[in-house]
Amino acid sequence: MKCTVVGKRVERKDARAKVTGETIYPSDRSREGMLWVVAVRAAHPHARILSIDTERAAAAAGVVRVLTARDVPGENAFGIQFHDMPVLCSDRVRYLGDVVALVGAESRRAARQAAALVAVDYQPLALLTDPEQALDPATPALHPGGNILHEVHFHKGNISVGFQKSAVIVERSYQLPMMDHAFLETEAGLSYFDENDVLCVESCGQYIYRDRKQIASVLGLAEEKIRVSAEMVGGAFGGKDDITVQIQLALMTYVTGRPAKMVASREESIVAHSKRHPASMWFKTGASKSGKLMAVEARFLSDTGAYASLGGPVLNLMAEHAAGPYLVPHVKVDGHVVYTNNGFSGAFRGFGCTQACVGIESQMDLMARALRRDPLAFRQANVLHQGDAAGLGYEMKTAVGAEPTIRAARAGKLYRQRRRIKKDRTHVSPSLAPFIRRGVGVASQMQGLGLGVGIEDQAEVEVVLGPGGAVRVKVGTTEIGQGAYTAYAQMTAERLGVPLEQVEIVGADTGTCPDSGATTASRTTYAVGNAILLAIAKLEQRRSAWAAQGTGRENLSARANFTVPTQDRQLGDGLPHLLYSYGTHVVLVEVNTLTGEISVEAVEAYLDGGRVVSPLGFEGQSEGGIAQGIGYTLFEEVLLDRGRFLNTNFDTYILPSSKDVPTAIHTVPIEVMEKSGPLGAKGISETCTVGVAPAILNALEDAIGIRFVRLPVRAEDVILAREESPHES
Amino acid sequence: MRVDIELGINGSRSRFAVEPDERLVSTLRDRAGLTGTKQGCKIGECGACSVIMDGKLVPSCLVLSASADGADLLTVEGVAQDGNLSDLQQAFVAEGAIQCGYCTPGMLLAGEYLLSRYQRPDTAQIKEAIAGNLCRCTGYTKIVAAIRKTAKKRSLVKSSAQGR
Amino acid sequence: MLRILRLPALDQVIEILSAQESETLLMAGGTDILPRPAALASTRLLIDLSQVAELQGIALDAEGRIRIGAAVTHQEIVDHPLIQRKAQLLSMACSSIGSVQIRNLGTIGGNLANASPAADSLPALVCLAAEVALASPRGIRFLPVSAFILGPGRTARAADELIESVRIPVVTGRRVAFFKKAGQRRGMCCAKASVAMCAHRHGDGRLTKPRVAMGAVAATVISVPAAERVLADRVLTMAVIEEAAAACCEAAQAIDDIRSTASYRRHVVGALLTEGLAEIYDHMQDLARRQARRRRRRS
Ligand SMILES: Cc1cc2nc3c(=O)[nH]c(=O)nc-3n(C[C@H](O)[C@H](O)[C@H](O)COP(=O)(O)OP(=O)(O)OC[C@H]3O[C@@H](n4cnc5c(N)ncnc54)[C@H](O)[C@@H]3O)c2cc1C
Ligand code: FES
Ligand code: FES
Repeated sequence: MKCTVVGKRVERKDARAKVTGETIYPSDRSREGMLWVVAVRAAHPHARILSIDTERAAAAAGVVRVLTARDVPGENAFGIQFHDMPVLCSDRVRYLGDVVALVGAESRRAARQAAALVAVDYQPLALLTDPEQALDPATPALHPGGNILHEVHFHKGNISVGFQKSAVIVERSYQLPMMDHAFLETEAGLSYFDENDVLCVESCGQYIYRDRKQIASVLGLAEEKIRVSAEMVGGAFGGKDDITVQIQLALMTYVTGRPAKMVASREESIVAHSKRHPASMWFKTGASKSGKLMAVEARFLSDTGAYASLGGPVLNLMAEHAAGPYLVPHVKVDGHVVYTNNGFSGAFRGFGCTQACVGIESQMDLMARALRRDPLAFRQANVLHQGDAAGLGYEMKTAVGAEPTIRAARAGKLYRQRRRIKKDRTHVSPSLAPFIRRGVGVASQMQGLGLGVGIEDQAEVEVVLGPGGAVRVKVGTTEIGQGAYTAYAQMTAERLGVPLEQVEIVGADTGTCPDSGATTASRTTYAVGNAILLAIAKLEQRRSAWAAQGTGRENLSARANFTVPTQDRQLGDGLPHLLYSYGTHVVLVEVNTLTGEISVEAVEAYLDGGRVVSPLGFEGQSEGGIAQGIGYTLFEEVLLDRGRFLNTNFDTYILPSSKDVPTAIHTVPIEVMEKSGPLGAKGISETCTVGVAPAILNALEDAIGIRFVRLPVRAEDVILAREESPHES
Repeated sequence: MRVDIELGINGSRSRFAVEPDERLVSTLRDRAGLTGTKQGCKIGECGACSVIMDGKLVPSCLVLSASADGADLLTVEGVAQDGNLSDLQQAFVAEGAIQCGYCTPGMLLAGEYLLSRYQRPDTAQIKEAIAGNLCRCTGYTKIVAAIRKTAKKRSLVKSSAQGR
Repeated sequence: MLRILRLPALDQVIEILSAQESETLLMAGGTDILPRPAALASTRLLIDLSQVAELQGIALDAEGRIRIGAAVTHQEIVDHPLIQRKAQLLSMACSSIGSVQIRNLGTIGGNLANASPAADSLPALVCLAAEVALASPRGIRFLPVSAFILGPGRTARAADELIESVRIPVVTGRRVAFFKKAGQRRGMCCAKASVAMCAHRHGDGRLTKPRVAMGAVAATVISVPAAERVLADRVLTMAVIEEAAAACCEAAQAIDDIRSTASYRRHVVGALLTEGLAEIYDHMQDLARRQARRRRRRS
């Protein structure tokens, strides 16, 4: 199908307002008479609360109200999967982000000062910070159900037969860090009662309808009495999927009747919100002499920290993606996710695939090396095709784009010319040339799209045709920066045959928009896009019916609901998926063996997310995903010492800067049209980051002959490994 | 005890009564209502709060408002002229240099500042010029491209003007 | 209650300082003071030095030394032609400080007074034999940088003194210099370790009067006489470089912290010296080759 708007390099719908500073973000909102709210967080990572004394704080100048657990009218708990996180702790704290009181005051300064006056008497409890220890049934439990949140055990074929048939067997353990989303806008929002006595919360959540439900249950209010919006958000990446400030704001307004505002400081943000799950992984994989993958065995231990959040589903996705986009006859995966006092972890772009991919793609390279095979040819020879049985045994029923991405990567410049590119030292002073090593590495990946079997995954939208050809599309998903609204508008304009400028996307407000589901899991282009096309089809039907009757109407609207299709058989919460996006990354790294410094010099990304709706958005997602992947691999780690955070701002939590991300990023769309997708589209917002880390690790081995199994890899690690390495040259 | 100060913001002067330890970023956002200037760290590391003060790019979170008394400021709200986007703003839009947009005001001002100092900066200079501005969404590539294109355009305009 | 005084003249600052009021804090760019959470909590009087006329400017003083006012920003130093010509090492060091935003605020006086072991201007200033001019009611006294810096955050500044300027003797002749810094990333970062070096270069490949100093590998900036001895009056070769690098590693008394490890810091000062000297070596080879070519053409 030929498209005229979809697939064009159009500018973002929201770019003009963003470039002039007009866009109002949650942290920019304010209202006459509002209170500033500051949370009093736990002083110990694990302790019993003996008493909370708010008297002095409440009496401080400018303070209007100090709230504690007693002020929670409804259920004092929330959470995406389980309501296990207290809104306000009354008896126990399990991590430093736990909130014991909320101060509402006339100014931020007054609220801050008063927060320091809330006196909490704690009795510290034994800390649980070692995930291994959490597996021991003798360890005191952090939650009533014990310290194991969830476990998975899968097998396909017979793993010992698989290894018997293997000529090459590789076994390694991997350690992955806790990573912060580091969205540039911290958690923020505003709440107030409107003239109809509806409690409005204008905030930063990734799923407004779920937020509303949770606020309602905490306040004991009907959902209709609450309105939640998240119109424009300064980055999220999964870190605003869990409720952050929404309930706290709503509670303050509910109790005081006054508007309330909250903006987390960076220090508070890094402590309080969810993280990427730190994990240890063990992989053993085997391949036959002829280069056929025979067996993948993996064991995962993931640390969800103090609360469940999405720890279970993240582990499920780790398992689902443990064997990568490959056809493997014998697979065995076991995993646990446990509670500890190490912050808490949840959704983060890649959602378990990121972790699993580091393991399997490192293994793939190790096996290719042992078999003396070309790393991409080895992958290509084992890749999954439509109709094959995936790692966990279910059938890959939809189009599989893995092979085309590998094929394109092999034909790409970086890979084809890697021998020459690796030798290039023209940019270094001649005497230093011997100390510079370059390497090229690859990784392939797939990433489940949508929420998977067993989790409701629907998107409802409304399309309104107004006077003069204006089109308004009401969607409930959030614009967190990913550019989805522009893609929605393009699809709408394409299908209706109207200019893009006539389409307006009205977003993320339970007061005006239907429930389009969560802004997660690479699902929105696909799910919302499909719903939009369904709504338009309804409109056109009606329009032609009217035309047949000879009547016309200017204002016309239709709602439609799309359900993301799933596999028939459920293997776990959200497990497995029917649809995946695919990708292959090729990375050039340079190592300065004198200083140990690593730099990523060039990246090629071959991504299949079906049809590309917005090329600028597609490339932008890819480039940003690569930067995050570089951060994960080389810089970023939330450091904890006995449950206490050591690096809570950007002076010590190191993000890649402009000088740490190469300009030479080349993103190539591999458009394997997805029949069920809107105009053939799926999504790539996660797959574009997942393969980056293992590709860098593989490039590092290519460069200096050292296999790193712990992220992040720092200059210190390079120097240490080279000192210890027997083949140091 | 508040301190009375006067600021020239985007060409118009206003007076504010600020706390002695108040940061310029708060005065701009909370008192002047100019929320285009963002705040991401408050310790000078992210650049989201960057403004041009008396011709120099500074992180407004590390400037005491009391110390800025009398200064002339350019914030993101003052970059467009009479509702027309500047060439750099247009390039940000056209190149796709914006995702969530939270870093954009600071990035734009860092770009403007660079272009006020160098006519044809190379890629390394552009990267250095925005090294104090973190962006979590874009990977910087398109931001660098937008600045590079603008520089090229401006120097072409200039040289053709000189040619005449 | 905090009071802020923005004073235009040095006399006024000295007068207030000599009144010896406690809880008085000097501030220039504020880039060290303001990021700290409890920044001004216990301060009653903050003296903003950024407008003090006598603390501005870069020029030659009466004795022919380069005088850099204490409130001169790092970016002004980087951009100044006199520094580029006569104290290039300082320009290199200051250009590695923070981001352009930080360099537009942060001052040389603040970098000195803050006395961080990782402060980037200090190794350069030590190599350049710079002196700190301290002003007080008693007049001005001069101290070499290495005598001024006593420990992390500790200096020889008396309570009633302030840094007036830094003075750098001008050296003639052909010079080579580098400043190298290992950080947690390439963009703006605090040094895990840094090395500064300058020397005279001679047509025969020799370096004389070498000065080597290192940052972030001891409680203060340290100079490395052992490395200087290795380099002095020798023709620069890779073997000499290796020897000097070993002397740097030897001299480092580094610690573990959140940014790096003691052993890496010890290692990397040698690596940084090697990098810097190897580039100089290549540069000198290049010059020699070019000169030979020119000579051949002439004959
Ligand atoms: C994001 C960021 C990045 C940074 N990166 C670097 C870096 O890469 N390298 C580096 O070296 N530093 C770095 N710094 C630290 C800082 O910018 C420098 O140390 C700077 O030179 C401090 O100067 P200032 O004028 O801002 O000091 P201020 O904060 O104003 O003062 C610092 C100290 O010096 C005292 N002081 C200031 N002027 C005088 C004077 N004339 N006489 C006596 N005492 C005085 C003050 O009382 C205070 O104790 C960074 C800071 C930030 C926020
Ligand atoms: S908020 Fe000022 S630099 Fe981050
Ligand atoms: S666009 Fe989101 S931080 Fe730059």
